Amino acid sequence: MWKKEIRLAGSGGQGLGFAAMVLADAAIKAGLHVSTLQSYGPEARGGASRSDVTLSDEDIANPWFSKPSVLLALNEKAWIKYGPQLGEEDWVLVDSDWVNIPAGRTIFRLPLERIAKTELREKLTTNMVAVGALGALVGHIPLSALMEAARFRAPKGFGGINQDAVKRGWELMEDLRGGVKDANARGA
Amino acid sequence: MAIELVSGNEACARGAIAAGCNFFGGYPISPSSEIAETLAKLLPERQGIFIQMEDEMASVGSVLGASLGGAKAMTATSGPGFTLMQEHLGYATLAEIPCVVVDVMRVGPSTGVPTAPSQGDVMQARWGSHGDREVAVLAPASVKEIYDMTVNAFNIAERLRTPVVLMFDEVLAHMREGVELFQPSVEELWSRPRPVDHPSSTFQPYSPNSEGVALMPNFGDGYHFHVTGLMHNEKGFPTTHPETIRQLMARLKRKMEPLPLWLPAEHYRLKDAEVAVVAYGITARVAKEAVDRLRDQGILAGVYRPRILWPVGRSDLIETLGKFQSIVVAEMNQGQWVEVVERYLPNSVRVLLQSKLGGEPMTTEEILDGCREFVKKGVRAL
Amino acid sequence: MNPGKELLRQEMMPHILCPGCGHGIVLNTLVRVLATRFSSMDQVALVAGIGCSSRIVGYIDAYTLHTTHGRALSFATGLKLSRPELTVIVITGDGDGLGIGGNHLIHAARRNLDLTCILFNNETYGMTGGQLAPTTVPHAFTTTTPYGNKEPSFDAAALLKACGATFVARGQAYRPDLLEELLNRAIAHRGFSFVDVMTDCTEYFGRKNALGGGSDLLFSQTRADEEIARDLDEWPRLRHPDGFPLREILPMGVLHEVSRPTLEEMMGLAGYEAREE
Repeated sequence: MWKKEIRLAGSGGQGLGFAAMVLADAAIKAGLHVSTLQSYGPEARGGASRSDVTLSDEDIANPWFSKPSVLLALNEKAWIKYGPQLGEEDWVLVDSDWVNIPAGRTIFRLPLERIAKTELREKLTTNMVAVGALGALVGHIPLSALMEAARFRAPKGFGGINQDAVKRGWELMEDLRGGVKDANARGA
Repeated sequence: MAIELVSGNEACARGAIAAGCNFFGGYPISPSSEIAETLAKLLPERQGIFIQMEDEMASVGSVLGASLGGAKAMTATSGPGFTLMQEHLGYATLAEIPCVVVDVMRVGPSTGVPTAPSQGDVMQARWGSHGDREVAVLAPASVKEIYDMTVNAFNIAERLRTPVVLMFDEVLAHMREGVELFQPSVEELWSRPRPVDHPSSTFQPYSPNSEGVALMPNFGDGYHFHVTGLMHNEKGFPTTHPETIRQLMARLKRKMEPLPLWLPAEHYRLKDAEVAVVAYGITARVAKEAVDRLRDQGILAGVYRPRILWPVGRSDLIETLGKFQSIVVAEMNQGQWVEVVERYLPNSVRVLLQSKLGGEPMTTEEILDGCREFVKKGVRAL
Repeated sequence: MNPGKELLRQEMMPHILCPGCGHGIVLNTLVRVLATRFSSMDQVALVAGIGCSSRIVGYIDAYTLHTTHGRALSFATGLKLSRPELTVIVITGDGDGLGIGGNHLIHAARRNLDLTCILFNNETYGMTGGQLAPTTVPHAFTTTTPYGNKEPSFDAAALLKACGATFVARGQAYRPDLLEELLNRAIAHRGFSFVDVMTDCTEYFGRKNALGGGSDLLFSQTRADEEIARDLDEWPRLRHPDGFPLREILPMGVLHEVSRPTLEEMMGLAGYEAREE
């Protein structure tokens, strides 16, 4: 059985709930079982925010997990809150401009927000860059499915840029994984 | 139909539409509001009525009025609102008005934690209204099942002329799952028994058929009848005659008896099990994972999951669980349905409550802990 | 011979009203209005809450719904929205409508759903034994104000006008002719219509305040201003300035009438146009 418990953590307004739905939609397209849960209430509109996605090739008995096996931390707070729960084999993707930890075998650093701002010229696409990078990291979902989901879910006028952002995130992660050892130099 | 990503609350609203719901009267409350929001959009597109009422008492009032007019009507709320609705749930039971009430459970008592899950309303659903009455309470455990059971709830409400409560928790309400939702066929949708060709002069609105259910014309159909929350005779007129009251109360209870047969409990890996976990709603899913893990360790465990909490499916419960020595009841409350298990099972069965409070769902580890308690106590070597 | 007699459910008789109670006059008037306005009761629903006044719906051979305390208007709202072609009349009392049901009353007025609400105002809780009501005048004695009422009372008509009711009137048990006209106009009105009807509780309010029997109370209503006020604004001038006027000088008649789209029209409900006025 293949199963990944993915936690997307950052602050309210970064579109993590949206990112979770794009991941989930793409996973459905890829034939996976999927469930999502997201922080609800005032949290979702400011302060700390999180969204959980469970992907599996079998039925998901329990949609709620206390510890993720894949963590996206868009800020230091998110890393401090959820990082310590991770085991040795669990993966983490951090925004290298905001989270100050060294890269490692299971720690991936990418300047997600900076790429969104400078390359895509839209800070709001940070979440989609992250989705692309996560997709390339966890596998089982083709890039085409992620791009399609990112377009399908997008508000009017954002379909194209969302797709570009997903694609860019995917490429960056592939590059990074191609040379994990010198990831620090390239990623940050 | 294709697999799509749907939340529990959205599935509930879409299940209502699939069941033919054409009236929703409600009042906003976390964590149920998305049900109202979804229906506010879906109903008017389908010539249905959506109205936001001034409070939860009015919500059920409007639902009951609409139902008397012939609508398939529902409302949705959470704990504090559910408390306010109890008066009209009792009214609907006695006046026999079909309706569906959804309670998305959150942490209580009082305002509690509006955004966190619990299973604390199980006894309120049973005994919340004053007086003494039989109730129908369904407990789905997945997004798909919320959709299907919303249809079931309408079917039961219509066929038995009773309020039906559908209860799940904040996690199920907000989680999204990849699901395929099927539109039930016309034959799968039940309607209230209506009078056909009965002369209106001799029609008795509370005279029961063989199922113990009386025929129900709509207001506006030409049958002038009286509906009251007072004890009434078969003509619907108030009475204080003790025997008439006894017969009415007995009938209201009797007509609910087939319910557990319509939605039997799920038996998960119970056949050869030596320890059983009893759980419902979201907790049952965690229990299944725990049981799988126990089985991986060579411990024969299984899950008993009631789909309908009230009325209790006594015979199946006793037959299935009576042979066990060890049962863990896992609930996100201080122990509510565990009282049912204790009441109906013989004293030879050791029942342990695994309770979870605080606003986080039960974890697999906690259920495993519950099962291991039996080892500690020496009740049974696992 | 009362033209409405055949509308009464004979098997519900005798009724529960006390000798001398003013409610019977209002019931009689309502039945007469229904009998003359409608060819049959097949399009008329009567919805009531809990209390002496609310019991009277059971006496009329129509679709009758005797609901919970204070909440008749919420049932009526659902019923009217699901059957917009029906004429829906809500019977409530002052405790039922203005006390426990005050929230429903103000919102029903605001929505301007095409309902007629008749409030039997006897200034007390009759069915429970004569307790303080939101309409009990200051200084009056009730079983829960043994030292006299310390609270000001509601002016139901002014309240309902402020809440958006599009037709507001006040009548008296003493003047069935005027009441008949008011009920007729209220039912014909498209939108939320409200009639505050002054009617007396002899058994409790009358007795507690030593006001005499039913006929004494009825005649005491004559102290109300005979002149029919044209507008609510006239009221402050006419009102008794202070003290314990057991019969305040109240304006009677149609106090407020405007035309505004009904909720049925706003929602575009099919069948609403067919409502028999």
